Amino acid sequence: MEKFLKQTWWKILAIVFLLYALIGGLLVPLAGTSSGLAFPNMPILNESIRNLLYHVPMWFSMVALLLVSFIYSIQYLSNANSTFDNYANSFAQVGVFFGALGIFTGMLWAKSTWGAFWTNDPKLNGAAIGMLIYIAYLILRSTIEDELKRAKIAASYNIFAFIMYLAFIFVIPRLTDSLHPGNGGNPAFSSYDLDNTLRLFFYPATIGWILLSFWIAGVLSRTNALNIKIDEKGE
Amino acid sequence: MAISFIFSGLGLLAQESGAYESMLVKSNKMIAVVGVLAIILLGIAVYLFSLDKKLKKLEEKIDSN
Repeated sequence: MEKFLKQTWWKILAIVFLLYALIGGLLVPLAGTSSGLAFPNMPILNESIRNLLYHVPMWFSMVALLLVSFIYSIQYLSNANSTFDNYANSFAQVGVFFGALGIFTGMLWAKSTWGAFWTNDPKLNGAAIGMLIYIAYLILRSTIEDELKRAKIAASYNIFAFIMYLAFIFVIPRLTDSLHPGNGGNPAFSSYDLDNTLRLFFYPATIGWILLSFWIAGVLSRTNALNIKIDEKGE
Repeated sequence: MAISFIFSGLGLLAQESGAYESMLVKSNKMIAVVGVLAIILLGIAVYLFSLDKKLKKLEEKIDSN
């Protein structure tokens, strides 16, 4: 991971994918306005269907970051190396940031399509509870002074937090009715929800955003690693 | 309060954006919006690269001490 975070190629790839998704996502017309490449023109969504390329990747990036955090927490419990604790902490922090972006972009989109910033949609409430779980993780870390104790307790809590979050955003919304596409019994990304033209931009956008979020998490974890090193040298 | 005000303003904008956006496309000025967003994205990329560079220098400095 340390080596990967310092490499350049995937950072350039992230920018290329994001530029491609940005230009395509805004310039490809809706179906019916011209011939050729077009996004579906759906009732209620209309032009806002383009938000799929910007709102949804926030959540995918968040889940990817939290997955990395989860994996490093497991690793820390089997091998108490402060590097693993640092990765778990840094990736969770950036994950919460991307989750907040997902919530705010979603609220704006909801206002113009569903008519309200917040509805009692199970996916919304699940995401909100999940965010609180992770904010609790960050607060928990800040309250424990002893480094070893903090790392161990945080790692155990993080494993629990990730599993709970997955249940709240991927399992429970599928068991009930939801305004979100792909929930209420239907798997997401069926041909009904995502057509091929959208896919052409959605997948690169998702990869681009995930890579960009890893880049940010890399900057944060490297800064934290420097802090740890300085503290160790001071002792 | 202030935040909800900003959001409701943006929400109104978003509701009208169907007609507004197709007008933008027709007048061929959507390209200006795409350009602005591309500049912002590239700016963020350049800044992140410069942070990477600073970190690399610090890491080398601390390892040589």
